[in-house]
Amino acid sequence: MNIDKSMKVLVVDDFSTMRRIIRNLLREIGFTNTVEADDGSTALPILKAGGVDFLITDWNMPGMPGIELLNAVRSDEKLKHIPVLMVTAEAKRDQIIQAAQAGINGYIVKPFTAATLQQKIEKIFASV
Amino acid sequence: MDRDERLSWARRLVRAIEAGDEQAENDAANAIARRQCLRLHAELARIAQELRETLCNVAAAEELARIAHRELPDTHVRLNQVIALTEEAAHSTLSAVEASMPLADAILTAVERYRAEHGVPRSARGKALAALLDGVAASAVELRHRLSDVMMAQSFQDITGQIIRRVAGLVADLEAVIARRQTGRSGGGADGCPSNVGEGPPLSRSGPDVVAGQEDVDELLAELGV
Repeated sequence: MNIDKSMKVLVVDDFSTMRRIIRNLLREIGFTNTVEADDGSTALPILKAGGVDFLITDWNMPGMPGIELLNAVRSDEKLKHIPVLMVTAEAKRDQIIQAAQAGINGYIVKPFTAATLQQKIEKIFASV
Repeated sequence: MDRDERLSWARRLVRAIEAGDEQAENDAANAIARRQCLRLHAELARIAQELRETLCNVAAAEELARIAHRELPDTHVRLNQVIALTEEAAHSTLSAVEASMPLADAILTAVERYRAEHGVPRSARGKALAALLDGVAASAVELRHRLSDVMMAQSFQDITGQIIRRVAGLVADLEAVIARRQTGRSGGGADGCPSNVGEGPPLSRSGPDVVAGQEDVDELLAELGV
């Protein structure tokens, strides 16, 4: 499959260790153009500034949680096309349903493996 | 002492006074007085019990106040220390992993360059060296996988950090509740968390409303057409 590896990926998580791990994993699969934010409210200005092609976000974050960031992205004409992958410890069925209804493209439950991340990214870009 | 008994003692008292029998008069008066005394005794025991309970409550309230003012804020600081220390440790490990991965890559690159430059070995010595390099390359690949495992294992910090933050939140709520009790204000209560904030890592993966793992998530999403 041909994914444009030069795309800009925004990684949003309140824990710096998790952002670092995800960015390392992305680098391993070839995505080197990554930026990060620690919650939805710091992520939105980066998204609105333009140029982000793919959003990976946690759910549970102080400030603006991931589900609200997803809602904000989907309701913004300029951002709503961006694929969103949620990587979170939230494991309630209702939450996954809520995320699906809000327009999520993929959902990974923590703890996860490098293979799962790669697989979900490939799945997302195979369908968009 | 029932009514008949009381009447009987009262009559004996009247009779004794009329007859001028002092001993009998005293006996009857004492019997009637003892009844009053028993009632008083029971009442005193009840008051003593209430007093004891009240004193215990005062002691418990003082203990609670001490915990609220000193122990709970300390607990909050300690929990945040755990988050900070594990975060620092996880970053140190990640730095070591990030520094080691290029070393494994460099070994692989060096072996490949040697192979490309020297072609298929013909001499016995060349073949032995090629076999050695095959082993080195395989070890370098394995080393890379292991380093990747070490990196993924650091994700524990995110999960434990989320759990500790929830406990810290509970401690803060408890502190507020006790402070309200101390000042005598009632009601209020901790603000209910909007569900959008998230629930944090599940306590158990076996409940019917929780997914057991990524396979469950994939299944559920497939049903929802994602």
